[in-house]
Amino acid sequence: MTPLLDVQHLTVTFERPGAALTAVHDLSLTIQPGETLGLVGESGSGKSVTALAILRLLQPPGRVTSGRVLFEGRDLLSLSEAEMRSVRGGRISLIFQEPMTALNPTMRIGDQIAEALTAHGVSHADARQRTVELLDAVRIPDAARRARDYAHQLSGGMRQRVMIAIALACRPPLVIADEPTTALDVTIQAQVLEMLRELRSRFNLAIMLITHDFGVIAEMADRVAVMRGGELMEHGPVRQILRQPSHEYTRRLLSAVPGMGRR
Amino acid sequence: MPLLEVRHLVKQFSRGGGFLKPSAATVRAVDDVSFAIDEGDMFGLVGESGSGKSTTGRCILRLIEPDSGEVHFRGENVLQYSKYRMRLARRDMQVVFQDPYSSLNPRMRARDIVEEPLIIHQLGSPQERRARVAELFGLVGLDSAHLGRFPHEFSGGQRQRIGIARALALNPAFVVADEPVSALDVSIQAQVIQLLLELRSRLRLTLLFIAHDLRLVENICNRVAVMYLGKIVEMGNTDALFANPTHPYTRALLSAVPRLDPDEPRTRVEFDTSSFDRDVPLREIGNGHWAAV
Repeated sequence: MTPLLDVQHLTVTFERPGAALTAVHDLSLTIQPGETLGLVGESGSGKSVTALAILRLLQPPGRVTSGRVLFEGRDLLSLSEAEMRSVRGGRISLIFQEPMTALNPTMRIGDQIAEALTAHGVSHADARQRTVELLDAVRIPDAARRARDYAHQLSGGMRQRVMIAIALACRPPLVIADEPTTALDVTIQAQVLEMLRELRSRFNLAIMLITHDFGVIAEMADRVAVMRGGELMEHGPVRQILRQPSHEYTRRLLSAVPGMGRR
Repeated sequence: MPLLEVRHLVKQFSRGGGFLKPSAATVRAVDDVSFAIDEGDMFGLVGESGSGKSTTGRCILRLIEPDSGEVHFRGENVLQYSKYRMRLARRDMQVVFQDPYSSLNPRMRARDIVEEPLIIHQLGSPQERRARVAELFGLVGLDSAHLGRFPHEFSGGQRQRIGIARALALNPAFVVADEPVSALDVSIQAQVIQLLLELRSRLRLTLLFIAHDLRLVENICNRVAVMYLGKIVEMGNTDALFANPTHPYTRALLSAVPRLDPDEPRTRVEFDTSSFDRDVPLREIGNGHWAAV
C-alpha cells in the first residue's frame, strides 16, 4: 500500500553566521491512510521541527537542507507557495498545543471555523452551516449559540475542541497534532482523546501525534517513532515499543514514566 | 502530634465586578480544608486546575492570607503570628515553585539566589555563607564551578535544583513543593524526583507535594488527599486510597489517567459534576482512609 505520507531522509538545519545546528538529521518515516503515528521525544528532540518542515512552516534561519516529503504522490518540498497553501488546512491540518494562543482572540470562534472553509473555496452560506455541524461533531453543546463566542469565553478543553473543528473543517486525510492535550487537565484530556479516536474512525483520518507522554501514545498510536537530538532512535508497532523497546534511550524514557507497569 | 495541622482553612476570591464596581460573586478556592501531616510524611495534594491545591499550599505559608481557619505548625497556630514571627517561622517552612523559569531572578547569579535567604535571616558571616552555598550546590547535585552563572545559563532541571537549594538554605523541617517537576521533561522529572526523595531521607524533611499527576503521587507519597473545587473529597494512606478509590471524583480522575498498556480494557468513569454535593463531610471509611461520601 502506498503510504499517505512518506518522509524520506529529511534534514533540517538552522544556520547562523559561523554555526549550523542540525535539528533533524536524515529522518525517514511513513504514515498509512487512517493510521496514527506517535512521534515521541523530549524538548529539543526535533519532533515539532519535523512537523513544521512537513508543512513548510519553518521560519528562517531554519530550512530543509535535504530530503523529500511525499504526500498523495507529490513532493511537498517542490510545490509552489500557492499550491502549498491549499495543502495546509485542506489536505493536512495542524493542531497546536496551546489553543489560547493559536485561536484569534478578536474573532468569534464560528467565524474562525468558517474562515478555514472559505479559504478553501466553500461559499459563505455553506460555511456557516458546516460550522455548526463541526461544532456538533467535536461535541460542543448548543453549537449554534457557542459559534458566537470568543475564545476567552471558553474553557481550555472547549478551545481545544474548536481547534480540532478548524483542523477537520476541510476533511483532510492527515492531521498533525503537536502535543494536543498537554495543556489540559487529565479528565479533559481523556475526553479529547476519546473524541479524536471517534473522529478518526468516522473520517478515516491519519494522525501524526507528537507528544512526550507515553500514556497518550498507548491510548492513541498504532505505530511509534522515538526521536532524540534530531534523529530517529527506533520505530515500530506500539506494543513492541512499549513492551520490548530495543533502544536504550526508549527504555530510559519508559522507565522515567511514573507508575510504569503498575495498575 | 502532627508536624503540621490544617483546620477548616478557607480562602475566598471575589470575581466579576471591576474597577469601582462591587464584585459580583465570591469563589471559595479553599473551602473548609482540614488535614494533618506527620513528621517525615510525603503528603501528596492532588487535583486538577482550579481545585485549590496551590492556594492551600500558599495559605499554609501565608504567601496568601487565608480568610479563616487554623494552621498549626509544631502545635502553634501560625496564622496568629505577627509578621515578624511569621518571618522567623519561615526558616522552618519553605517552598519550591513550579516554574524554574519565572521563580528565579534572571539578574541574580546562582550563588546570590541561594545565599539570599541567609542574608535575609542574617545568618553567618560572609565566609560562612559562601561555604554554605557551596555545600548546598553539592547537596542538590550542581557543579560549584557554575556558582557565578545566571539562571538562563542553566537547563530547566538545573534551575529547579537551584530552587531546591534556595529552599533548603535555612535547613527547614517542612517544604511545600508546588508542582516542582511539571515544567520539566520526563527523564529530567525522574532525576529531580530522585533528588527530592534522597534529600527527604537525608535531611529528614517533611513534604507537602502538590501535583496534578496521580501516577507520580502514587509512586512517591505515603499519604494523599484529592481536592476538587476547594474541598478535599478523599484522603488516606496512598496504598489504601489507590487500592480502593471511593469518591466518584477520585474514580473519574483515576480512570482518566492514560494507561501504558494498549490492550488493557478502558472503562472511563464520567464524573457527573452536577451531582457534586459540597456539603457532604469527610468520613472514615477504612483504616485511615476518608471520603466525602
